[in-house]
Amino acid sequence: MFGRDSRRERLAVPVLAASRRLPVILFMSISLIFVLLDKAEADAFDEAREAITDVTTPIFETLSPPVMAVREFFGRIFNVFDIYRENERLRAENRELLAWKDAALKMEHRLTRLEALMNVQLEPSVGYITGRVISDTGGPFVRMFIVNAGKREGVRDNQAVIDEDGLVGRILGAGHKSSRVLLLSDLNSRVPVLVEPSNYRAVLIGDNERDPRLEFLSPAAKVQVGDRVVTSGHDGQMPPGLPVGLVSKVGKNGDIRVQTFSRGDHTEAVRMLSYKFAEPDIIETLEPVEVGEASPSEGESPDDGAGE
Amino acid sequence: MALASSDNLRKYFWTAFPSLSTLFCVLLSLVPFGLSSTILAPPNFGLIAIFLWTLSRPDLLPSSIVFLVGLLQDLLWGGPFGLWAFVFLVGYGLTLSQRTFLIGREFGFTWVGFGLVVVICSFLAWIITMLFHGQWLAPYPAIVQGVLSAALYPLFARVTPWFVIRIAREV
Repeated sequence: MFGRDSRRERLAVPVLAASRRLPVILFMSISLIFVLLDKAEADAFDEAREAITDVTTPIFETLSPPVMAVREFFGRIFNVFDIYRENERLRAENRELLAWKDAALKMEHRLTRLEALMNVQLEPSVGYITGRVISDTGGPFVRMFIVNAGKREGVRDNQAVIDEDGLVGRILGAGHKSSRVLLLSDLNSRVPVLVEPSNYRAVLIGDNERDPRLEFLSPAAKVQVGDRVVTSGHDGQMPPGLPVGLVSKVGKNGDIRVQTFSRGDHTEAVRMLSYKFAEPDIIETLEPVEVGEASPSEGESPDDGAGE
Repeated sequence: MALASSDNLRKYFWTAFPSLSTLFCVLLSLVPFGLSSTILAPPNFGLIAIFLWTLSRPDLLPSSIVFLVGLLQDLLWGGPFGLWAFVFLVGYGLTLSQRTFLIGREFGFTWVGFGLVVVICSFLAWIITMLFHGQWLAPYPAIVQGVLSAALYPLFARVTPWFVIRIAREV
């Protein structure tokens, strides 16, 4: 009894001294100043974020694969029970897809013929960079992950990121060998989209809920549950027509939600799209460096003469 | 000579161990468990480490380290820069001020103590994030994170005494 009390006292004296309390208050104030600075200047700490992401990449590249393997193992166990039904579903889907393939091939022939007739300038090709997801974010109010591909591989800020199901998000900050990907559900995510089949323009806004919100729809627009949503490319960053999701809820007070095709929870590898838009003159004046580097060599020749 | 320097190295290592393990816990929270892409959030491992070390060896976990680890978490987690540094320091200060009250009690008591620290910290993080973005945010990701952190606390609390004894022996 006596021993414990005296020990407690011995430790308590230096702990409770004012000299310990002062630095805590000081560091708290500095933290709050940082928060205010970040609020005032949104990209003030971007370089630090990219640098730290790069530094920690090797750590996560070592830590992540075992965790992924365990996740996959448990995922497989659950899948086994479902294999028969899944197989049936895939067969049915395959039959349907074969019919679509046939239709697509016919359309392609027709389209090339028509394009040749009208002398259409071809859409620029899209380049892919594949990266592995090496870390999640831990924050409760941030939806983000880190991939092990960066500027070294050709990843640039704002590139669209897709997985096998559809759009995942965009590159928030490309480091040298790793990049941060902002998911569609994040608070800072804004993606211009089109709601099919009538191609209403809207913006998909993340609010930390699982299904992001559709906003800036024209009042005349009629949107129904089940309508398909694709990227519009109006931001000049993402290629148009990328599948985003389906309208999942149309609320009375204009609360329209989109269930994204990419569920994200099983995403392991993603692809970054490097894409050049069709009007090189306009784009190049806006963003001379980024677009120029990622572009394929085409797209210059027919336009140069006309532009001068 | 060589023996002495390796002894020194060991001493330095164990002196820095509370800081290093807190750093490791922050990194651990980023391992892709697949939670962040859903509506959930992984446990706040860093806060668990800070609480346990503040109780057992506050002399080896100065506020400057808590501050730096918080800033690292801010850089890695995204969100407002400085948020988790502030929240960690609040948790650290709270634990430090209640340390004499919490120490030497039975396990359940300190667990509840940690629960309260988590509640206060999660609440602060939620409020500051809402003020930062100027919009209402559903609190459940923070609640999930808090509950997960509290649920995993016993695991960490069981391991810590072993390290505390080791540090006491080496340093």
